[in-house]
Amino acid sequence: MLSANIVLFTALAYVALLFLVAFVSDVRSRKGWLGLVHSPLVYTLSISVYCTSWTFYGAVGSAARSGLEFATIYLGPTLVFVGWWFLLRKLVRIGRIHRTSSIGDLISSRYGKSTSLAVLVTLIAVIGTTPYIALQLKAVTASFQVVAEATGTSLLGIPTRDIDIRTGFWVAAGMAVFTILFGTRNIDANEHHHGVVAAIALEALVKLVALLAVGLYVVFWIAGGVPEVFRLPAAATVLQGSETFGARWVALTFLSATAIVCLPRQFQITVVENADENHLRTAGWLFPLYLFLISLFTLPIAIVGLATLPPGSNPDMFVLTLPMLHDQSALALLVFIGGFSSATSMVIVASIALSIMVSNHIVMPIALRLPRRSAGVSGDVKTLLLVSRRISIGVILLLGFAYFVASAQSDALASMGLIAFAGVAQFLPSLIGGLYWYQASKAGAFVGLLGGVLVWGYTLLLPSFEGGSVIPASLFQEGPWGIADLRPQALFGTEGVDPLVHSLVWSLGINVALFVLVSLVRDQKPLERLQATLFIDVFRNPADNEARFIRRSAAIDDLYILAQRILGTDQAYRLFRDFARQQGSRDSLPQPDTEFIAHLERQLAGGIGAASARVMVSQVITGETISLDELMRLVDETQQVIEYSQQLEHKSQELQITARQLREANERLRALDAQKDDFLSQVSHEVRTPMASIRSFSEILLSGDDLTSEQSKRFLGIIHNETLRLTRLLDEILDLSHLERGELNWSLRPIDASAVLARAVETCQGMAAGVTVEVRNDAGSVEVLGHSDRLAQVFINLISNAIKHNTGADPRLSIHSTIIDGRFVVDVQDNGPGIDPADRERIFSKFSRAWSTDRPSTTGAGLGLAISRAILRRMNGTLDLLPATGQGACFRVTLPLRQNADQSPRAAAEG
Amino acid sequence: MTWKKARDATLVLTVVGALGLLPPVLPFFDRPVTVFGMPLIVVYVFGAWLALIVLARWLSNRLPRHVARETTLGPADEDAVSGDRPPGGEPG
Repeated sequence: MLSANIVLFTALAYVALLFLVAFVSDVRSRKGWLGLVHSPLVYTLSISVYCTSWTFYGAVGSAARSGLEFATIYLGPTLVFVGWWFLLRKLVRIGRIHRTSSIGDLISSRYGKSTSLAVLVTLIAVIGTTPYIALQLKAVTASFQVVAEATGTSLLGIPTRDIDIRTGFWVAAGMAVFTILFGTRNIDANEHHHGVVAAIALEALVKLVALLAVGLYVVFWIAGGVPEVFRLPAAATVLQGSETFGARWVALTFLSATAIVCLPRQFQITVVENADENHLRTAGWLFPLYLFLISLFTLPIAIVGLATLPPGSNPDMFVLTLPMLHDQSALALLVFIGGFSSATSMVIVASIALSIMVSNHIVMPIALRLPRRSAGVSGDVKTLLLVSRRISIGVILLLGFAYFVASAQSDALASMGLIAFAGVAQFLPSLIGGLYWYQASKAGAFVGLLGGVLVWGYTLLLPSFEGGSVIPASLFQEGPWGIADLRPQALFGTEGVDPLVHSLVWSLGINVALFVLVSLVRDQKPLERLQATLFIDVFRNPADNEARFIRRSAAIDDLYILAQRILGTDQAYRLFRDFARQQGSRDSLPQPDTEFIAHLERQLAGGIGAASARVMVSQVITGETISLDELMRLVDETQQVIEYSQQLEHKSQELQITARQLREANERLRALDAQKDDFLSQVSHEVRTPMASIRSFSEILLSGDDLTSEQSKRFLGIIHNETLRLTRLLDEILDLSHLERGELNWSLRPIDASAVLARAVETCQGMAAGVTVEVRNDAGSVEVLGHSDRLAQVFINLISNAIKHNTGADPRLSIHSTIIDGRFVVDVQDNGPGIDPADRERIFSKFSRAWSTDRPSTTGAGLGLAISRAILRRMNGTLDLLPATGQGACFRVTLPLRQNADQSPRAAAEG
Repeated sequence: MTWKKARDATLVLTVVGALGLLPPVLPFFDRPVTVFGMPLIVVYVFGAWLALIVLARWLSNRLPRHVARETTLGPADEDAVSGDRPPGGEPG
């Protein structure tokens, strides 16, 4: 058994350790050695200030009463952190750029640096947090009594009437000292409290280790394994209850997700104390993991506690009483220190956050409005702030203590955690609206917040005092003045709903409705509009942009005095010197241009809040104008950038298409150019051969006197033949070029294609000696549009080619005409050597003779097929070489029948 | 995986995680079945929770890092005066 002295000594030693850690971290960070303090791990651990003693002890109690419901308190934050990229990253970025000092500062700054909004947010935060602090004091006191006075009865948990308020007082006093020492060391433009963060991170580890130790002990020593835990009869009692997964589950998940963002202490740790945005990346999964681990054993502890502790035991103390039941003093002590850690860390951070809000948003505005006693000496505002913060910490803890004393005799505190969550949830509409909705206005935020908080106070906070002497019970049963529709827990007849869900729906509903409606009705002031754009487009618009829109000037001396009053002599000097250097000035005083004034105001805002900084800067500046045109342009710019980028994308696609077309056209042109060159060299070559022959024979004739007349005649005959060949060649070339350019001296008229074919076959009979010619006409008489002589030329060319080039032993030729799909089709098939697949297309080009390699050039110039194809194209027909069948070659001529030929050109013209 | 895909996947993970841990889905697993001696609903809630954490960890390394152009923090008092050039250079 532990004596009170041992427990007290351990607690004091632990507190001394915390002081030491905070002190060392503070000293180190002041020297610039941030080391571990400036790491994602410490950042993540400090966020776990979320897990207060309410969750340390209360989660097991909640599990014992409502089963899995306790998990919702952790699932909401898990989801928010998993989606850190979308909300938390934006908050942190805004917090860093605009030197946000608290959630009140952020909301006030977003809505045109409004003082009234900051005051309202501060008041709500104080109202919501004070009972929460009282809850922590109560938890520490109760756990101390349980662990120190371990008698048989204490295992039941301490009856509320026996709570020793003296313990509570010393805990509160100790916390106040710690917080004042490490939380108000200086007015820092970053509001970083390295010592506090280090201590909080250590406490987070202690909580986790304590809960894991108890969990492992309970599951594996007491119960003997995980399945054994769930085999206990108590497991069924805990887990049954189909109402667990209802509206309350949704509401709790939503509330906890909201709380992790909106609770002033969470905002302080997550946003204000954030030193590096990349730490969020780690916290995004590590914090959910922390929550997972800390809640892993909650359910088993609750089940085993219900099963083994005497009936009537307080489930909120199971974590502590289970080890005590089994005489594990050391473990019980560890648990006590863990609970103590979770309570103190919450109290410390919450009171720092609240003291910053109170001093910046309530004390400063009042001080600014008081008549000035003196001209203001260096550091006077700084001193005022520090003193007011120290006093507010004392007052806040005193308030918490008073609340604890007043309610120590009742159980009113038990539900205080969720009530506080629901209170700060009222910040959500203004916060989210402010981050994503340009039209959200100050008036809307103010009215929404006020309405939401009033409804919350009436429907949730007020009923928590039920049973006390202040509020008559009739209010809850009959409503005020007997109006049943106004009963706090059944507004307008919404009875039978869980009180938390009821309050949440009404308060947030009214909050959102007022916020949206008033925002739509009331116009924004220019400064609101500017801040809206700077906040919402924080990833696009650096804060420096502010200088573009607000034009103002001031005497540098006035600004320097102002900075000295708020920051102190040293900091003010460094601030001015650095900016002067940045401006490229050798002087230690910078030019007081708009950019510098904006920079200075932001720095001051880090210390005293945006609203107060603006008021103070306004006192020394002259001639402020907000350029509306510039502002409108800024809003439009965002839109324009999006449009431009879309246009750009469109243009670049078009360009790609055009470039591809150009490339294709270029390739075609190059091919044509190559063809032209080929053609020219072929023509020269073809012309040179007969010319050479003519020249040589003419020379012989000229020089040779001794030639016989017979020889002369023979030579002249050769010359004549060669000239004929030359003429024929030139005729063909001319003919082809006419055909290709479409210059024709013949017109299309209806002809009988079958008759033309028959004539062509007849003409070729002469040279077909020894070749079997087989003609089959399935088409009958066919009328096409064309020119009979030209068509005959095509057929003769094809037939003579087939005969000439057929070198087989038993040459055969088959000519088959038919009608396919409205076209007259003629196939000329031989059984010769066929055509090499590589030459299939080439044979139709000029001067190509697929068969010519082993043949004398006298057989033709190689223009026949090219001319035939051109002729047929002119008649809207085609000439193709059919795919090889293994035997010989088959050329196919097709011509449109007359009725089709009439239509197709017109259709083509229309298309 | 590009950072835009990672960002979209993070959004999907968050939404799916929220839907999976809310009533329309949860009561489905609330039935008298045990897995390794534990009730199905307990295994589901904690399993889904752990899966969320693992996937979030996997995705977080694929989202772009924030490159602050800020000078590294000097002594704490200098924080106020060290350059506070706005961070940027990040796709937003």
